Amino acid sequence: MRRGTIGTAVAVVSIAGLTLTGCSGSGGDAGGGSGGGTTLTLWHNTQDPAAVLGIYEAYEKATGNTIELVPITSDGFEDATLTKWATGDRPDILEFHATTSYITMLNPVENLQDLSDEEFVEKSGPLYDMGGRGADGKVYAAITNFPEVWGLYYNKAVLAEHGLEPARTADDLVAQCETLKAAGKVTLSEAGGSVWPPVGIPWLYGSSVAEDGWSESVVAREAKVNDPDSPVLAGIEYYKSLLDAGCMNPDIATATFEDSVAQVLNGEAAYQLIHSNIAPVYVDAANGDAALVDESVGFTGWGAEAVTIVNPGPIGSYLLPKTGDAAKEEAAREFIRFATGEHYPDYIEESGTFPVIEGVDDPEASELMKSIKKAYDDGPQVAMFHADLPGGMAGYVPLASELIAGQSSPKEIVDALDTQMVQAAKSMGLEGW
Amino acid sequence: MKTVLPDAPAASDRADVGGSRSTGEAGAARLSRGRRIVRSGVWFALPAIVFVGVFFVLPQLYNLRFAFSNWTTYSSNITWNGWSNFETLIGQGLLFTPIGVTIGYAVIAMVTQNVVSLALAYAMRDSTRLNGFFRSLYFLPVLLSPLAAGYIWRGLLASDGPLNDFIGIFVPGFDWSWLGETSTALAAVAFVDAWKWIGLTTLVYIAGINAVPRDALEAAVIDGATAWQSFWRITFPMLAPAFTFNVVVTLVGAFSAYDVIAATTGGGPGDSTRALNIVLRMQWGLGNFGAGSALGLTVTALVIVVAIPLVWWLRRREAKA
Repeated sequence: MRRGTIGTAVAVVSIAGLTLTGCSGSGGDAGGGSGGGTTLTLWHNTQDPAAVLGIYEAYEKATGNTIELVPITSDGFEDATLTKWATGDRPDILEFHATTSYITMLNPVENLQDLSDEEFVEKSGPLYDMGGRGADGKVYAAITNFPEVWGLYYNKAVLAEHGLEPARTADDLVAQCETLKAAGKVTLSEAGGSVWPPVGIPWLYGSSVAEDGWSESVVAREAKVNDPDSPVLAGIEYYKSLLDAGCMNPDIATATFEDSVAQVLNGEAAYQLIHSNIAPVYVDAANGDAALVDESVGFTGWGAEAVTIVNPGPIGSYLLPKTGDAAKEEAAREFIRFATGEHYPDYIEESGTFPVIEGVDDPEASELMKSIKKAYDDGPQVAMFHADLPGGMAGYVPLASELIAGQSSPKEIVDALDTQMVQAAKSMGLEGW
Repeated sequence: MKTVLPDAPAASDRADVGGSRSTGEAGAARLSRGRRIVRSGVWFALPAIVFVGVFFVLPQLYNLRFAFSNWTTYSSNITWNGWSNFETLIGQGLLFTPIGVTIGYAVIAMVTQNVVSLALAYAMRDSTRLNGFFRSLYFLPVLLSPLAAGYIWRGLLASDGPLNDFIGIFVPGFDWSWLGETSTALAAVAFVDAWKWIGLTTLVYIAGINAVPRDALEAAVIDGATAWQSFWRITFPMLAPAFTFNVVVTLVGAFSAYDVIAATTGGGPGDSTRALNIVLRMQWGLGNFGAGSALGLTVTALVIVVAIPLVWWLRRREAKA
């Protein structure tokens, strides 16, 4: 955003009734770069676990610099971050999504530091093939956390009782639905009340059937999301078929993902489709009894075919905005090097998550976490297909609610998605749109 | 019967009547006093003028500009794009449907709130200790955060929540998802909004009812009027100023609905509670700031288009009453 528009942007935000914290990204103490005494502002997700907060403390101890945390609530995290960003406010370090679509929304060429030459990129294997890059192919995000692995949490006893193996494919789920429905069980507990979980099934289905290069062909406007053979349309039609077949919970419109966790844990439902970062919620639902969760709940990758869909999440993913203060920008890079290098083994040990950077052993983990890691390792790993598309199809969330309510058909929804995509692509200045 | 004398004239008015000073001197004195009043009035009004200017007029002007701009998260160049944002919103069904939802929500909330408030105010009009307790009780939701109120009612209205449990005592097996069905979600959410603010409008009505002259009510009783006739023919017409205030405030306030809807349904199921500010927030989340501004402008226009004629009509009604 041009500097001249910052004040005006603030005014617009106030009319929208949105909250401004008034924090200044680079307005803290004048710093001396890596020499210590620099104050860095970091916008962080309030869902950051203790181990992530530990990185900031350890960095302060190691360098003498100070990190000023600006909390961004995890409920509506994306909106809140983008709103704050739109006012022209900039932190020195931004914890945010590392997907191409979200990075693109930050106008990275103009606003973010290029991290392509940093050591962690080379040491992260194929991770940066699935995220962390902008549309221009440069790396703008440092990913320290194990990526979100999407798949099915399942109740072991319910499946065993009916002689079923964990579903790995779309056909498996449909076949098992007949059995489970006859037994009075909910096959899949869906959480329309949490708004975003209903994106899961269509996205996983679509990601697993999309041919290589499909996203690129959409960006080039050679293919459309509303083509008859679109993987997006296929995913949404599959979702509708599950709805129509009565495979989901009756309170789908209002149930939250915590409700789904409870339903799977207590055996009311056989499955919940969501990502791996929800695993601690199962332990919370079991009143902290991790052994009970390990005994009751398992996890498997899922797609139209037997694949595992992965997506780098916002927790522990760092982007470095250009602030115009060379000393602070260098100190922010120093933070990234610290988090992905010197401190990384400690972080893995403290967090109990699996390392994504080479040279660090796996930590001790619960059975549920091991099953998530197994799903990741078994693969084949497939990136979420929407991440590279203009706008990231973020507008699907309210449309999913219309699908559940029976107000829109799959075809109407993909037509609306195409319109939204044209809007985003034009804003991005993509050719051919 | 006690005779009520007209108010005695003010000192400045008496100056002309007494004849001890010339008309010119009295006029100059009155002018000087008038100027002083105006000058001090400006100083008193200045904080409010600055506040409204900085936090209302200025943002409105900027918003007006952005509503007709191509401002998005993807680009730093903000240029004029005419009616494009509105055309895009209309093309995606994100303008007229949310306007309808917003008006429906506002009307339901306004009617519910005023009818219930008026009944409560009439019941609690006397300043007794018991009424004082209930007035405080009904005012408590006003002090709650709208989000908190929304989350509380989300639990109460859940299909396995206390409301259905209560109805289930009389209708065994009753099960209805008040917030999950498109047929009831809007009314349910508007009811929550009304519940949240009923305490405030009730206080306004109580003040209005207690301002109705006792002798007029006593005369009506002597003339044999029933309680309903006394209320409808005397109290209600004299409540016109309170009625104007409450109707306008509740209606216009509900046009800006966001927090209660966000906490209860998030705009769903489907688009049944997707009011203008909910869509605004969605557009903002998609990085379409120009389109978001266009929706903000629509809310403002809606308030102006509805509120000004409404206030004019209600004021005329007051004058007749």
